[in-house]
Amino acid sequence: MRILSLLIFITGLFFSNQKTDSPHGPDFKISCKTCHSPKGWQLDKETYSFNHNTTKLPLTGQHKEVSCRQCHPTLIFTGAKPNCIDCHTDIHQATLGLDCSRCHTPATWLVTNVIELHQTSRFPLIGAHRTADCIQCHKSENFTRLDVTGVNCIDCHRANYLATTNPNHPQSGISEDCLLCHAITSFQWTGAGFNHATFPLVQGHAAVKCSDCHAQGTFTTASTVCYTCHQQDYIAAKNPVHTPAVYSNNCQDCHTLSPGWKPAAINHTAFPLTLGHSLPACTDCHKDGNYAATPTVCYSCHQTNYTATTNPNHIISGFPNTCATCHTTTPGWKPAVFNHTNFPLTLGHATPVCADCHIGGNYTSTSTVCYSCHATDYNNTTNPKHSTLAFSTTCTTCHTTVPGWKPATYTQHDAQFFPIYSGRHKGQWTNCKECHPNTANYLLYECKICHSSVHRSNNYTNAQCYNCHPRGTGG
Amino acid sequence: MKKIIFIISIVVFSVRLNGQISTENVKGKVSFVSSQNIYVKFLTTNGISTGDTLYILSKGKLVPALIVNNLSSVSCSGTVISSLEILVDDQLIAVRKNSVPKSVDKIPETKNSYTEILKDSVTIVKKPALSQQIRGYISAYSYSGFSNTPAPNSTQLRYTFSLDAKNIGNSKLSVENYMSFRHKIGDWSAVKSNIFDALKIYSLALKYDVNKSTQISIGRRINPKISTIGAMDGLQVEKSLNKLSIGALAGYRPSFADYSFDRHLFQYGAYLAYSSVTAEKYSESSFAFMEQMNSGKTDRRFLYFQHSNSMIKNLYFYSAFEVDLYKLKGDTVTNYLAQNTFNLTGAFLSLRYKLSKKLTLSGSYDGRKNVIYYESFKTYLDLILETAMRSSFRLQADYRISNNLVFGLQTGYRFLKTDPRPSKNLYGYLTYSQIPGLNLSVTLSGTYLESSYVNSKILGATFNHDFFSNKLSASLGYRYLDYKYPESLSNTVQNVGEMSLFMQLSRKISFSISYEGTFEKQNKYNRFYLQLRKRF
Repeated sequence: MRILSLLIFITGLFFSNQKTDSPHGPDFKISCKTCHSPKGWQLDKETYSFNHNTTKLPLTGQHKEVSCRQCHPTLIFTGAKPNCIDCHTDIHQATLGLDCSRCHTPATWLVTNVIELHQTSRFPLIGAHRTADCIQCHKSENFTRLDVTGVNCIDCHRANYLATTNPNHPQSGISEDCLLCHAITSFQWTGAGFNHATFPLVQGHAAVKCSDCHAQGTFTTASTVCYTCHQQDYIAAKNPVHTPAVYSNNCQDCHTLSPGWKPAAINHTAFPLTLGHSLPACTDCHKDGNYAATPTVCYSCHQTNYTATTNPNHIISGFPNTCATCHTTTPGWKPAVFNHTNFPLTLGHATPVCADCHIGGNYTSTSTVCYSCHATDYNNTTNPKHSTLAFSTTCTTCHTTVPGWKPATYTQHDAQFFPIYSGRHKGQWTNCKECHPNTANYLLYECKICHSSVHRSNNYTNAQCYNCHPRGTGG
Repeated sequence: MKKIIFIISIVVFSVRLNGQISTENVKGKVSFVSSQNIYVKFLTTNGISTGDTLYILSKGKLVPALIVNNLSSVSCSGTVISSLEILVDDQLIAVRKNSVPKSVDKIPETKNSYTEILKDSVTIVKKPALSQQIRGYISAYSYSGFSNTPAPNSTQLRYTFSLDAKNIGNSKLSVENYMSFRHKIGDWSAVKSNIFDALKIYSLALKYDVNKSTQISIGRRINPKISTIGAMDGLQVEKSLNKLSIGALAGYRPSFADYSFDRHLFQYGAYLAYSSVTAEKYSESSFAFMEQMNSGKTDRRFLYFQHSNSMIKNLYFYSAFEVDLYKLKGDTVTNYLAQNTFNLTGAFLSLRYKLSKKLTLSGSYDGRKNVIYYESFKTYLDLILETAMRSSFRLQADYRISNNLVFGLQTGYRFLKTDPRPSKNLYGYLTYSQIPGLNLSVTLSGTYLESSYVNSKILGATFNHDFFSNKLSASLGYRYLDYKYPESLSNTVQNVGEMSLFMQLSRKISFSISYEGTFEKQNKYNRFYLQLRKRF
């Protein structure tokens, strides 16, 4: 009995000094009364007050209603694993990754954000795709495995492609890039949903049958050249008759897609048909039906005009045959603007008749010396009479090109006769008549009109004045 | 000396445990009051029995206060029978029928052990070694789509049933079942033509615990350790060896056509799994080999490896790889040659790091090829030989600005060789939870996407509100979308409105309804989702 008591005592001491082994693991800091009551160690739902929102996984939706053990299989609560797939078997066979919350919520497995999910995917749902069932694209025998799906139309619509008979896509070799012909936003393969962007089916082409252009199913090799389909129209045209010699078979040169071939407008932008060219017959320029290589150089068509021109005679004058140098396309060749920079046609020369200067049609060696044209003026001038006074024939000595020969500045007077632009008489006169009262004879002059008081008693003549005072200065 | 020790031991345990009471009336103190019971602590309950009445001293008289329902060695609980209010620390009195002195030889074990504490409990629930647990749910869903477009309106109904019955009748036998049935309203003929086009059984299996470490299952079941292979009809055995578990499975893959049983699709394999879980860290790995056949010929042979751990503080890592070991090579349908290969079919890597209390960074890579089942798909093998890997990268940063304000950025890149161009997206959000005074959460978000044929900008706002202690949750959302089609230089603008209600009608029953309306210039789309779910 004593030994037994001793053993009990030692055992008691041993156990009384043992640290309590909590079933919730070491460092478990939550108070017992949060979950337990004196009823026992079973969870007391009446007193349970643990706030799961203080953990890494706040409980929402269905998680609030499940028993703790479904997520915490052991009493070591911190050992619960964080991923959805740790508790929920992945029926998608790992085809959607780990993050269930991208599609599901804790409240329900129902996927309500299908459209939103695709907005960050490789294939946003637009048009008819928006109303499609998931399994129409994500085909799997169990509806839940989402294999990698291509985003090219043909990846899902190969069956449509193969089954199409009008036109037969495979036989016709039509591209598998559906977007070339079908709009992604459409709900049907035909009508508004059909996109013939490579050859827009508008206006005259809007209501044609496929076979009108795609004869024998030539859907990939059908030419887009008008003449390929419209050769018969070209041949049958009566007004005007489209003979190849006259009209190009590039229909679009003259016609639009408007039905009935009207309006027909020649697209002549390379050589605008304006002014004098506005109403020509095509053949005036396009000789021998040459619509492809007709030159745009004026002379090629207007050589005859050049040759026939007599006023001035372009050939004799040696005019260049670049018509545009002088002419515009205004009918009648006028106005003609000649580049006369070597003898500017300004002031008195501004509106001459060419022949006034170019005597005898001489446009190559016409003198630029004034006298060559103005000798008559020189000779006929009486006030003063240039010839009598032996004025210089270099007209520019006294004249500008201002019409009417005025103003005229006769500075030669100083050297030739008597200094009036220099010396003591400079600035003492305003017009010739002050010294030459007889304007019929400028050789006559009067000194005494101004100098009457000088040598009054000697009664000298004007010539005597000049003899003693030839420079107008004192004796 | 021995006498001294003997006397001390008697004294120690006598003081700590039950004293010997010889009086008829025993006083106890109320230690806890619940809505149903009152708990009374005594030095000992010797002489007190279930059904006894405890009294309270009121105005010098003993007034009946409590009927004892449960009893332990030092305490009892009972139902109140008095109109007097009984509070914690009130004194109740029991009238002993017998007072039997305790023998010193019957000294109980130390109270400080949990074993003793459990014995001290008022009710000691002795659970059987295997305890039955049955849970599951049944739910009904409807998906409806209506629009003013030429596309037909449709309503799809889906019913699911889930059952997880563990240790039925406290036996070693368990059952698991998960299946769904879906059909379109107005298209019952599709169901009648083949019930398995509508009925999908994901699991229907019997499980038997041979012993604590060995489990056998038979039937259709998705093994969580190798869920990548999907469901299997057959036998699965798993043996646990401490942290290690070894499994073997043999049976049949469900039909490729309709997910029903297919006796041609025999498969077998084995796996090895390791799991180490502590309060702070865990590490799990599994390695599997599978041979899948069709009519006796190899269809697919592959290895599967999965590893996840949280061995570094604040870092979570997950990886999974699938490697195909078998392929057919040839240039004609009938002239294929079997070859061994080592072809990575799938790779998934995920990393999440909590840099600080405020900032969490995460990223993932997902590379997948379509799996080729060489025998099953032999007749149209040429069509599916596109085995380019679809690569997807995601990077995300979440920054908790304050307790209620979180900002996040996410960017993604996805590309498949046959795609005209990669798909790139950038998504940002700002969430304010529980706006003071409104109990409202608001999320503002923006997305920019470039995909193969469309570029889009999306701006959105979502409001969430909980009512009635979270029994009712409502959300309201709006999104503005601008899709631009680079090929045609045109665009589509959409205005999207969303509403949803989630109601927890009772602890077991929930109901939700969602609506999404999309409005374009000409087209209008409406979607309704309903769900009713009953758990058991």
